[in-house]
Amino acid sequence: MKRLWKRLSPCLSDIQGFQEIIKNTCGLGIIDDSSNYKPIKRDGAHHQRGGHRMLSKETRTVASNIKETDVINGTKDKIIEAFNRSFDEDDFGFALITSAPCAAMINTDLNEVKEELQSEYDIPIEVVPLDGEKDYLYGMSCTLEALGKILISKKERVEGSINVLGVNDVDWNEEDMTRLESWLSENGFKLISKWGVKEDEERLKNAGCASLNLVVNVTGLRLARYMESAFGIPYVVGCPFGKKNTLEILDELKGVAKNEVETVPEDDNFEAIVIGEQMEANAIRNALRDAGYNSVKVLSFFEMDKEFMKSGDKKLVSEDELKEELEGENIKLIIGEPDYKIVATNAKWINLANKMRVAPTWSIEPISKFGEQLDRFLENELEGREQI
Amino acid sequence: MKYMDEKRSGKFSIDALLKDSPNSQLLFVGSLNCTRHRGFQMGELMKEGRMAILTPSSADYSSGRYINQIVDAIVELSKERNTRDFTLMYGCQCALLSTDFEMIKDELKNDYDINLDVHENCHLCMSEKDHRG
Repeated sequence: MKRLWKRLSPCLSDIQGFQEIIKNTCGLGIIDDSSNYKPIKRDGAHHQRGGHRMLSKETRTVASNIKETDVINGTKDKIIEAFNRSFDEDDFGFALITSAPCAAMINTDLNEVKEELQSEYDIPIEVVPLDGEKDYLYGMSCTLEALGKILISKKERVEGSINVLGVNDVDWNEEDMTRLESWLSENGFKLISKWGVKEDEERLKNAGCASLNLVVNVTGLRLARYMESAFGIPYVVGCPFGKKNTLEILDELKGVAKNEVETVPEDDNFEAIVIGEQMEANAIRNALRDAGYNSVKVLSFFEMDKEFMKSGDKKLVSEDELKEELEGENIKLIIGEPDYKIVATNAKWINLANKMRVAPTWSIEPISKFGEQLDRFLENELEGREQI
Repeated sequence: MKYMDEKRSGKFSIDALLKDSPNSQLLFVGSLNCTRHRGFQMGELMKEGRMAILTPSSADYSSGRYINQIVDAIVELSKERNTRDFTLMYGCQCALLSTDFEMIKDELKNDYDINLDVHENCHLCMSEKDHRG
């Protein structure tokens, strides 16, 4: 049945996505919730400062610590208290406020809290509309958009400059991030800022002077759309993994019209499935076409944007749906994190990194996929050889 | 209860809820965000085939549909895992909505001969107690 997780642990929540974005900034995240937030566990490394709150380089969030009686009295005062405590003890450049499930259910007016705080403090504050029921990437996306609203202002345009939106350390390793920066520079683009990983606040504030945005992950789309409507900055969407994909993105960045060629089997007779973050999975699909797989569908338990979905693509909401997809008769190849293998299948399985679920069985770091590295990886995997 | 002593001493783990009943299954009902509490322990029990997680949506809670989902999930797990003994653990939404667990227990017992214990562990209410079948 839908929403019942029997073998596969569910994905991390939108609030944890919020927490992860805030961690990389100099801001404060206030979560209207009844208990504190520890840093998201990845390798068992925890850091916790005593008492009721934590504010370290691993987490920059505090909880309002609401209790049962606040359901009747309202949680506004508790959020303000949490802000005041943090303001007295720590230095932060801005604050973002969001609701966890119990607070979201009683529907505290966070915008009213924001206005009250802003009337007292000279600090940018924004509300991130989350409820703890949605997925990690959705939370990251909404948080990046809110961050953009308080940090970016209209600036004089610098031609040939660019922001990269949505780059994160789940799908991207450090080598790929460095290669991305070199690639942009080699092709005449001046990188202004990166959104999604740790970045200097001043660079983020300069994002408004960019002439273009490159969205490499679904988490950057909301921010890109906001920047286009608020500052007129156009955006190109695509993850530069795979040689052909990278060249196409470069053409788009340079203003060359996109030549859209889609090969979809008429009878939806798909032979390969890629399960993962939408933009990365789309890049892998494109690379697979060069490897002879013409009918590939993309599935994801995380947010998917309809504009970038193709025929057969699906946002999964339950384990049952995944099972049904994996059992497809003609599927010869599946690319996804190993825990997704919840049924026996004769299809070849290629592993992807996995850090966005509650309790992953495996700890697989992202492999280098930038440019032609993805093609080489797939070539080696498809031939059954070890990656060089 | 033994696990209450363990909790007080800081050694509490979710699998302690199943220690006294080796054939019992655990179902956690809550939001995705609730699984941040002892998520790795839940993952271990899922791997052992002793636990499942039900994550109703906001609409499921506000429409009351989550009550039927709890019953349906337990019946489905009972058939698949061949057991009639369940423990239910829930997040703050169920507490906030004053969920009538007695009604759920009666329905499961009368219609499906399934025994349900309910373990309340609500961070909002600061409560931890059992409602044994």
